[in-house]
Amino acid sequence: MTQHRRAHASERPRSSAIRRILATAGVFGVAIATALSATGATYALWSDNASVNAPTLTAGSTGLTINGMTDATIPMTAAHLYPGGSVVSAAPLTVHNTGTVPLSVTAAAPVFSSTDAVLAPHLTVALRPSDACAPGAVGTPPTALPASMGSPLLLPPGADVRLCLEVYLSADAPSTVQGAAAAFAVELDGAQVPRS
Amino acid sequence: MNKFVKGSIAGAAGITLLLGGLGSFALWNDSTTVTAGAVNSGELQIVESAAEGSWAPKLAHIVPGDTVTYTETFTVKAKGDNLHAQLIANVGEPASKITGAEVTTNFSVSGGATRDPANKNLYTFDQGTYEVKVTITVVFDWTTAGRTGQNQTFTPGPVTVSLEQVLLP
Repeated sequence: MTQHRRAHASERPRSSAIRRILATAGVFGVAIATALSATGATYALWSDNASVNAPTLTAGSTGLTINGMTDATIPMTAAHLYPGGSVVSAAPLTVHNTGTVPLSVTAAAPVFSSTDAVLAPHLTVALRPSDACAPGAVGTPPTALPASMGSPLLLPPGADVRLCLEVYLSADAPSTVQGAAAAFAVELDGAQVPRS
Repeated sequence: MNKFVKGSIAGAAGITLLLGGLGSFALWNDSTTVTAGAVNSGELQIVESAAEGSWAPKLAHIVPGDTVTYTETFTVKAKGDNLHAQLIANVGEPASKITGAEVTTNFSVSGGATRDPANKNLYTFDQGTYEVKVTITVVFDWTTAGRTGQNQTFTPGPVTVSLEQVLLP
């Protein structure tokens, strides 16, 4: 009686074992690749940074006051006007630079209220730098605004300048102006002086 | 006992004697020591200069017609045979502005850094030492009239300079 043995029967378990090992390694390989890509962002390359620390900048300001106010009423001497005569401000006006920049100060021509049509055309208004206010000679009209201010006044920040106001009635004013009254406003302008 | 069995026993006994004697096979071998030299790593950093930046001219208050410039410098140290890096500047929005004052921020990098023509805030360079200069210029328009912009403050926004290593293909 012959017995047939299958000589190759022992090979199959070995090759299937290798296949199982390879399959497992393959699974690990996939898992590792997935783990790497799942952490997502970055390659950890070198980096550094710095900040610029610029301090703040502040803008200046302009400000002008007359006798401490932005809108001042000026008391005049009590005398009445007569042709060729004038009245002046009771005391010099103090103009003050309240800002942080030097100002060039000028004054505009006076603006009379519209109801002063009777007296206004015969009046000459002058505003000039002066420390003492005195009327001019009788019959001599003063230089009118804006020329009475002279060249623009340079007023540094925090500084003062004193001005006098004079109102003159022309010598040839008609008698119809007698008893009339007038009110006017003079605007002072302070403009920033460019840095030299 | 047949001959085969006798022979096997003798052979096994002989092998056992041989193995039991000296204990080792004396195959050829040799050894030597590997002496590796030192390996140094490079660096990539940006350092503020010792002197603080400042506005010039130094003005307590700016007014229309003024132009003031703030300058600050940094040093970039890049060391590495295969190091390639990029410098990117970011200008944040100011926290407060002065009406009528125009602000521009500029960057320049000394020697050897290449500026990107499409993005003037991006520079690329290889290893070396570079100086980065940041300038903030404020021009207060002379035609700013009345009381526009007075008593206002310009507070610069965060301006950062970032350095990043890049891999070139």
